Amino acid sequence: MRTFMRAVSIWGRRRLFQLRAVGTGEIVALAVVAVVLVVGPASVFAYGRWMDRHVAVVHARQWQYAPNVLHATAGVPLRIRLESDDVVHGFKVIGLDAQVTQLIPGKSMELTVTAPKPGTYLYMCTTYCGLKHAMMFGKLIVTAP
Amino acid sequence: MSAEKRVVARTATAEAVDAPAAPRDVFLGFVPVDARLELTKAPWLRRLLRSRWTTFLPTALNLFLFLVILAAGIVGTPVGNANIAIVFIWILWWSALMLVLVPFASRLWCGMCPLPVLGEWVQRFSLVARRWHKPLGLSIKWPKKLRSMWLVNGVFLGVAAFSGIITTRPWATVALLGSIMVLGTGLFLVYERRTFCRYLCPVGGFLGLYANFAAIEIRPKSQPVCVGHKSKECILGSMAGHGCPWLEQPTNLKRNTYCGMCFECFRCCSQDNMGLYVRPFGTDLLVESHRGLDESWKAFIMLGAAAVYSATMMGPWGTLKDMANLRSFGGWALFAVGLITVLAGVLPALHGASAWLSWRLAGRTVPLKKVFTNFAYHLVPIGLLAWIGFSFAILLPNGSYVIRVISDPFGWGWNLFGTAHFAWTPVLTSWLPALQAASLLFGFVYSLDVAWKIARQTFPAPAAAARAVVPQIVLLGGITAAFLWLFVG
Repeated sequence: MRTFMRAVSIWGRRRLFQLRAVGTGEIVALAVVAVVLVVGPASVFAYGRWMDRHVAVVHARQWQYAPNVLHATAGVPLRIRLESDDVVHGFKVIGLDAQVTQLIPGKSMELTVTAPKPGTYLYMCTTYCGLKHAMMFGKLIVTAP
Repeated sequence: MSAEKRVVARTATAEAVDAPAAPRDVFLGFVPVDARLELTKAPWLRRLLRSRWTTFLPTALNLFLFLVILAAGIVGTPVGNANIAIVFIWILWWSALMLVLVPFASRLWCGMCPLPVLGEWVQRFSLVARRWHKPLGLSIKWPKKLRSMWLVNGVFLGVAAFSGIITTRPWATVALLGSIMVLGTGLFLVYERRTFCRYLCPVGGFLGLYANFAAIEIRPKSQPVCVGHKSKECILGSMAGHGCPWLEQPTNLKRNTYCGMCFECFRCCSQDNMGLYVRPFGTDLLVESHRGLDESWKAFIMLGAAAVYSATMMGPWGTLKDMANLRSFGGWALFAVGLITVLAGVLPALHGASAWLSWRLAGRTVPLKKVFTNFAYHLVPIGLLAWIGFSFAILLPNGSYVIRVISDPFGWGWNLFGTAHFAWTPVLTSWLPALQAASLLFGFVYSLDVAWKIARQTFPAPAAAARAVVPQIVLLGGITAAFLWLFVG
């Protein structure tokens, strides 16, 4: 056991010595690898979490949107992430420049809606998705800032 | 020296001087085979290649992309064209590999490949610094019996059988790449240097074969300098660089097959005797010394894979697509058996028949095995150009997905760079048949040229060579016609 510990100690001291002797280049490279392996992926996922908190997620399914009421402030952009739970749907806010023509199941689509003035705007499915396609709509309620 | 000997010597010298110079061997009738342009005469390029950062930084960047791809395959959308794993690997990387990297930069990809790099860093116990110590791990030598491309061929066939799934499902792409990474890292700790890349990596196998066609090479500038330089730093390593990680002897490099373009030999060489050269395409295919059946089979497998993938992915045969796509296990099993039979059995048999005919027509003066092996190398140009045609058909219609997924790599609705809503925009697809036909035609002509040169090497008598090349012309014509039918028919 003592011999083993001694061998581990010698090995460790050698490695430590080598690490000290590596120079600036190796330390910079270590920093790059740290960014690649840790900081990079961590910031990607942090961005994802931040996005999730600042987006309204709307699920489309036959034949409704969930939620079917959204709230926004006039002049303030509202980010909406659309996800289809079953078949291909569409999404359009009547009167505003906001449309997704093909909402494919399994794939998220994101769009930003900015309503210039207060009021109630309808959003509806624009891709035929079954018998009650025409009944698939929701409300965007925009209040004054 | 006696007077008689002096006369004989003088006569021989006079004859040598008077004899007409042998005509330079040329490709396509006008490009000399031995034409070289040394790029490393430019001091900035020499400095760049000697820097360890030249390899490290692209590798680190690729490792980052690979980690994103790995994450996207596991947690991203299963929709292939919205997931960076599928779009970056099978549209961007594959096209870049076949259209640019292999023909113009040989195995440069291997020099910046992120898959084995963790293992290599652990093995060296360093990232960029060169420290003189025993490598970590066991550093066992690869068994002699396995020092060939046979294992690589087997691994590639195994992967190819799952191609329909791997190229469409992000999780399958990631399972493949992750397995290569884990296996590679593990083997770096067991075997010496880049044994894994050389003898097991399924990508490295075909890159090695097609690198022989590449228009670039690393070679010693002067052979006598290498012969006179006894320390052999490029093999053993020095404080400036590692000995060739690919287990090659840079002093005696004749072909690109196992040169991974890592530039370690530039760093090691205290004589500054390594050079990076531009050369005519396909020069290494004429090197006789290292030819083997393993590489011949690699040529058949790659040529056959180009045909089968073109039929499966771009052809009008829905049943074939369903079989490759694992719609039913029985169908997939049939596809896998058929694919392996065509790639490793039918094509070699066709080539064997043409080689036998060549052998008979040329008078059976050399062993049949040599004829079979040698003539397999003329399938490299047509094989690579068929892959280039296939890659055009992948890139031009689907390349615009790349712009979209860089903003939304996981298909979660992100918009990192403002391009997440970039619409699918096929580019130059009306030119696609012409580009594919031109690629094939170039490959056909180049293969004919290489076939003729190989015939001259194999059968020194010009008449025998001329007879021997006829079946090869027929074979190449048949292959080209079949690809033309697949691409534009």
